[in-house]
Amino acid sequence: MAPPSRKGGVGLETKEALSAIVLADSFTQKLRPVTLQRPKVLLPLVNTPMLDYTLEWLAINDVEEVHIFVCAHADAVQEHLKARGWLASRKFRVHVVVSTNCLSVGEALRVMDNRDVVKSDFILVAGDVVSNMNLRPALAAHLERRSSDKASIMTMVMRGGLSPAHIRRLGDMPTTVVMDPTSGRLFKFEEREEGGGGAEVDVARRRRRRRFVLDTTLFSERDSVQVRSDMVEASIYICAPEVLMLFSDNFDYQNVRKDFVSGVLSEEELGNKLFVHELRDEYAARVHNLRSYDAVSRDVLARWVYPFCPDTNLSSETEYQFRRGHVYMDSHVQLARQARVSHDSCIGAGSIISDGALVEASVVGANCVVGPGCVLRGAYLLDDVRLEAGVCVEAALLCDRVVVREGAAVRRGAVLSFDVVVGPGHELAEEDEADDFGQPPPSLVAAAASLAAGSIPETAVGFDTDVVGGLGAGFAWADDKDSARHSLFPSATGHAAGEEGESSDDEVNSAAGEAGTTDAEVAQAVGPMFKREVGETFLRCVKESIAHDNVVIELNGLKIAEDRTFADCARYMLTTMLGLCLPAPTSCRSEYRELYTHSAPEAGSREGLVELLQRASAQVRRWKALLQKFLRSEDDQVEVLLTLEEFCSAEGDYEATGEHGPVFAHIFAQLLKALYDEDILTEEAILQWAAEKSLAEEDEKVFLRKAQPFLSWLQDAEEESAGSGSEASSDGDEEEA
Amino acid sequence: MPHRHDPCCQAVVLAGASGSRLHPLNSGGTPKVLLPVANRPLLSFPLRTLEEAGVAEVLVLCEGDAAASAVQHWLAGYSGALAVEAVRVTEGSSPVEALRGVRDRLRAPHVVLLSGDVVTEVPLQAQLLTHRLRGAAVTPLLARRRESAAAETKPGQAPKNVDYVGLTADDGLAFYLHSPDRARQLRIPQRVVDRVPSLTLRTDLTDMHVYVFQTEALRAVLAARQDLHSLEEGIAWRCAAFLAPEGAYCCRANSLQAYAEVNRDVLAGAPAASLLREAPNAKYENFVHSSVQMGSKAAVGAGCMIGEDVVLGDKSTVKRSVIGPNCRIGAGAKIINSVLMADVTVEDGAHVHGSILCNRAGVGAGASLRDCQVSPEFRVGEGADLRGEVLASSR
Repeated sequence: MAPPSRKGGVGLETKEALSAIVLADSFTQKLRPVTLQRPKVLLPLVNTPMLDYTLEWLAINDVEEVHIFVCAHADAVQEHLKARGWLASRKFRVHVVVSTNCLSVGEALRVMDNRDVVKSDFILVAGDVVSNMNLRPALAAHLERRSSDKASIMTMVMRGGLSPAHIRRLGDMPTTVVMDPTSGRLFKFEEREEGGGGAEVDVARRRRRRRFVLDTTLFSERDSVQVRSDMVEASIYICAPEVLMLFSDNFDYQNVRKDFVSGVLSEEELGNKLFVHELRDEYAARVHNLRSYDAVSRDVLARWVYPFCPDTNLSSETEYQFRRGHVYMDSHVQLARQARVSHDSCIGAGSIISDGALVEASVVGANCVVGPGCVLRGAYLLDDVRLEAGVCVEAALLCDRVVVREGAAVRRGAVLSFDVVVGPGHELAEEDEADDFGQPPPSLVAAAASLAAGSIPETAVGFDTDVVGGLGAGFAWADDKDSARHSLFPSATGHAAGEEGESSDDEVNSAAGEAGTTDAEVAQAVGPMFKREVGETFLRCVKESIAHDNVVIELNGLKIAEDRTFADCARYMLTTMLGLCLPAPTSCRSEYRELYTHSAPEAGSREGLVELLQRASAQVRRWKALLQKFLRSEDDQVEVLLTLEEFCSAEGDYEATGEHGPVFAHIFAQLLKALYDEDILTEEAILQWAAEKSLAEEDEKVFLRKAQPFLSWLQDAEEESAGSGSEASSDGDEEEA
Repeated sequence: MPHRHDPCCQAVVLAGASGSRLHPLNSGGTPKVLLPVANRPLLSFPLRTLEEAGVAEVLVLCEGDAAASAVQHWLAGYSGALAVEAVRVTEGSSPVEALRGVRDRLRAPHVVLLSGDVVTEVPLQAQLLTHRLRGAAVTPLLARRRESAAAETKPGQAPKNVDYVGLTADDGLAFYLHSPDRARQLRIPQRVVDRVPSLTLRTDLTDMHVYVFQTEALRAVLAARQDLHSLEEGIAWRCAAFLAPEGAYCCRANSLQAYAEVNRDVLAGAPAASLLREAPNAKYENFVHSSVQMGSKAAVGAGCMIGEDVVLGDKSTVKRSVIGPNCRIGAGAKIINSVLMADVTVEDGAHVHGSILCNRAGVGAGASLRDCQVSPEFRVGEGADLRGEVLASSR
């Protein structure tokens, strides 16, 4: 895709129509399985499709031209636009751009660039953004910056002043934003990675030691810089047309936040600048997972997004009335005398709430039936949902036409996709993962439909009765790793329920397969690959006896290509060179086998171990200069120590690789001493590692105990030359304070 | 001005020793805090700051016997409202060690700790109030730098000799790092970033070495951290920052240049003039003692101070300078931008420019001095022409 030529540049002087690009596809799968059947932007949020919030908001901000980019479910979106009258809107002209083969925001924007429809500064917004912000000041500031400096290519809208709890509630990652407090120029935008599952303790420990590194050259042009951790990016961008060109130029940009922003910020020499527009009192949030769906729904109910409240009745079809306690009720609701609708709820037209039912902090769509004695707490019911008598729904999302039979209970965090039937008396366990249809073959739909209608289908179909109960219809949806963090109901335990998913039907598994691998899986796959590449690069250098400097260049190239750290290179290099002391592992490629020794020293005997240590020290001595080049800081060295532990215990990256790491476990302390003697590890790094490890679980301390004689020797030496270790110990004190 | 006595507060003045950075001014044995600024000892400035804040009891920690006895001697003639006592501490001891020595004498709930060379107009009372209102463990005074660090640094370079001050949105102090050299990276503990939602890092502030401590907190730190070398390390706990009001004068006379500047500033009218608590001569905007003997056509410019019994020769000129008591300025001599301590003799036709002349120094006739520092009792020969030199007797 060559960048199109733009003769004459962009005329800011001539008044161009203000245009917006709305991405009516998030290119993620966070809301699957619901989004398999309906595009996310058409999912109702407090009974109004999300896309309508975005378009209404653009309309009140005097946007004159809107390009709606549609990818998945293009027909449904177009139909919706037509039905809601957006295509004939007098507020602005709507162009629908359909391209069904895009997989990322980057590709979508490249398509937009190719079509060359946007010629002046424009607003880029996701179709799932709910906001009431006034764009004019932000736009004016953006244009003013643009007129004085063409390179101010983008203004990002962020909400400030949020507490960490609030950010988590929005289902967002904590981010750290470094910006100029006066001009709002953005210098750094860092999303913090979150550790998952069992590694959490370890992550917490690392975090305590971690430092936030700031480039001091920032202070050469300004006297103050703000480091903010109370901001959430709202996916509203005011862009110069150059942004589209940059997406075309950098064909690997996929995502605005991850690729474009970090790319522009790192390519400082190109001179492009990004700015932040901070919102304090106005609302802007994106619905990008279930957690934010819940949070934003609540904010809408609590009128934070005024004027976008149900009782504004933007669509002429609704007649919501606002009642005490943030309750919105359509005038066509049948509310039984004994039914109670408590605070923060919204009930759509044609719904029936029967006697004895309690609706609390819940949204009920149109034409739903809530049976007698039902209890709804924090529940989201889309349209035509039928709850029979005595059903309990807590913090769950029930899509169109779901039927919950008498006495059943749907517990926290459950997501029931379209047409699911929950059998009578069945209880969906708490924290049970979403269950529903993956893309079902038509016969299953028919079966579900007849089940919902109350008759038993002629053809027996294998539903997951474990999950939906007898006479239920639905399947468990394969679990997604992030679900705990993003679920409707935040879990305290972080427990993931994937077991049921394993036993489910082939159809579901294949559907999950289509869903593609998640980022985390990709990252996991990349780990060993990088290890292998470093190892092989190193071996090739040994084999062809390449000069140190060239090895450094090669590894640096690899490091940059894979976006790794120096420590990552060093750790795999070290373990590879230690491996050279022993026969080649099975995974080794044949061309490098000759580099390894053929005879293994006998690990059982003292002589064998001495021999092994001598070989290891020789290797380390030989490659000392190289290793030192990659161990730039104490932190790097601590990383290497942690890796050495993994290597010696054949865990993590070294699990079942056929490397003979555990042999070295016998000489761990001596190995440390060798590395220390060769100045590869400093005393501070070793002591820091020990201090960190001393907080670990008992069974993780195996190597700490092994190293103990060496450590006490180090500490003795340190006391003699008092002072040098003061930093390590003072760090410890700080942590206690 | 009557000052309300504040029993909740004691003060410790770190008077230091002779002040090695002020060589050769100290070579006569005068401790740094007794060097004259506008013809009064430097120490009188922090003492008055304390007095006006209502502090009752002050310990002046002097390093070594000589300094302690000199300060004690001067204090004997001190007539202010404070109960001041000079305390000897071991020579070369760090502020932390010095404080440990007087730990048991700190009884009031709050302690003001300040350096003996601070000359400031910033009301300490306000800092004390901030400290108490915030319930802080320590509240340091941060003043704006005169010259912005960014203005002194080329784009793309790391600034040199700056204090990185991290403030929270409500002026709490969350991070402090003094960076004497060009460090490329600023490493902020992650937990600071995590805990402070909006951290503003500034390089336009500098630590003025005026702190208010909660005595309990200070004691706890002194007791717990045997290895604490500087108080900066201790700034990891509940800290409130007190920012000097915009434009308020605040300076430390801790280098030769700063010493000369302070002398000039306190005489030069706004913003520091009110520090002297006396009004200049309305017509000439200078301070000339009534006992001064002016020769014919002798001229004293604005922003000058001429001490008791000074004799100014015919046609001599004094501009932007301080002249100590009993100095003799010869006919046609010019003194510009300089500080002359007591009993200095400048003979006929000599030029003294941007220099500091200590007690009993002498300048021969027709000599020319520019940017020189002359140690006590040193005599510059006739007709000498010296620039940027330190002149000390080779005793």
